[in-house]
Amino acid sequence: MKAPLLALAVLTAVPAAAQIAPGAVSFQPVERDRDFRRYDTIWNFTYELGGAIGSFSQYISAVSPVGFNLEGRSKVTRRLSVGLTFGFNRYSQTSDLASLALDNGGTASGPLYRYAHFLSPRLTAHYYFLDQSVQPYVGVGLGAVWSFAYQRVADLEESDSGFHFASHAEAGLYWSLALSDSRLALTAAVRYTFTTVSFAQVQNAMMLSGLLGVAWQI
Amino acid sequence: MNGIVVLTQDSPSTDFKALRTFALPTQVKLVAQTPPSPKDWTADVPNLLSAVEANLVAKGYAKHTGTATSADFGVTVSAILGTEEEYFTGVWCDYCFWYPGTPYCGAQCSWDFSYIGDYRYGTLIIELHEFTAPPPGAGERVKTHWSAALYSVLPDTGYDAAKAKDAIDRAFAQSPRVAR
Repeated sequence: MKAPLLALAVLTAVPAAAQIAPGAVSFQPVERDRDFRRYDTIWNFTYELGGAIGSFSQYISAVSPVGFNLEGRSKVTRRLSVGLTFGFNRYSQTSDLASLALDNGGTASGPLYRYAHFLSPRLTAHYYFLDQSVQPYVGVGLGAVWSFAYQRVADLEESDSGFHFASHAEAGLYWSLALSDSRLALTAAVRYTFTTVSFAQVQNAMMLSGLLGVAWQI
Repeated sequence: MNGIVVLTQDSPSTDFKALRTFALPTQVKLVAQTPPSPKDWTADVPNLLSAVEANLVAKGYAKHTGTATSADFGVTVSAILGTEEEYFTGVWCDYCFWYPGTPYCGAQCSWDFSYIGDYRYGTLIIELHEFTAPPPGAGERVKTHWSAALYSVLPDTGYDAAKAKDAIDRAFAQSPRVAR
C-alpha cells in the first residue's frame, strides 16, 4: 500500500503548491522573450538602385537600375542578428564617343559599350536600435563577389572576370505593416559597398546604393 | 553598333619630333573591294587629303615641296571596302602611291608594332611611312611610323564629308606622340 499512497501524495501536493504560491515558480516565458522568439527569423527581398563611386564611376557613370538582394537573418539576441545575403548588380553604359586604350598600345575611339556584373554572397550582422513597429538598424556584410566586366568598341572587345573580396556597411529601417505571430514589413536602407574588384582603369570597385524591399519576420 | 570608330597606333621606335617634312599623295588608293571596282576611291578626295594635310601642319610638320622621296616621311591614304577585310599595318605595301610627279611603290613593308584591328567595310586608312631612295625593291622593307583606321567613314551610300573630316581630325587628336 505504500506506493499508491505516495502517488496520491504527489498528485495532491503539486496543485496545492501551485495554488498557494502561483508566482513563486513560473514556467511561462516573460513578455520580452516571447517577442524575441516571435520575430527571430527575417527574410528580406530588396531592390537595389546603385551608383558607382571612385574609379569605378569613371568606367561607368550611369546609375544602375538592376540590383536585387535576397537575405535571411536570424536573431541571436533581441537586438542583434546574423545572416546571409545574395546580391546581384548590373552596371552598364553606352557612350556615343569614348576613348579606349588597346592592349597592343593603340587607341580606339568611338561608340563604347560597357557593362559590369557583380554576384555576391556575404555574411551579415545587424544591430537594431528599437523593438517596435519602426525599427532602425545598422549592419555590415563580409564575403566574396564574382565580377564580369566587358567593354566593346566596334568589333574590338575586352573582358575580365574573377572572384574578389566584398564588404558593405548599411543603415536602414523596418516599418511593420501588421503585427501577429509573424509580420510583414517594408524595409529601406542605404548601403556602401567596397570590393577588391579591379579591371581596366578600375581599382577596388565601390558603389553607393539605396535599397527598398519587403521583409517577412517570423 | 552605329557610329564612326577610329583606331590609331604609332610605332614606339619612331621619334616623331625628329621628323619635319611630309609628302602628300594625290589620290586615295582603293585597296580592296567586294566586288572588284576601279583602283582609286574618287569621292571627296581633295577634301580628305586637305584634312590630313591640315592636321599634319597643325602638328608642326611642313608639306614638302620638292621631290617627294626627299621628304622625311610620306603619307598614304587608302580606302578599304567590301566585307570581312582584315587590316594590318602596312597594307599599302603591295601598291603604288602617286606623289606629285613620283610613283612610290611598296614592295614589302615592315612595322615594329602589331595588327590593330578587324574591319568590315567603309574604312579609310591613313599611314605615315618613311621614304627610301630609291623605292624599295623586292625583299626591301619600309618602316611605317603611324597608322589610323577610320571605320565606317566610307559607307556604300550616304557618304558624309563632314563626318569623314571629323574622323580624320579625331585620329590625329588621339595620337599625341605624332607631333613635332
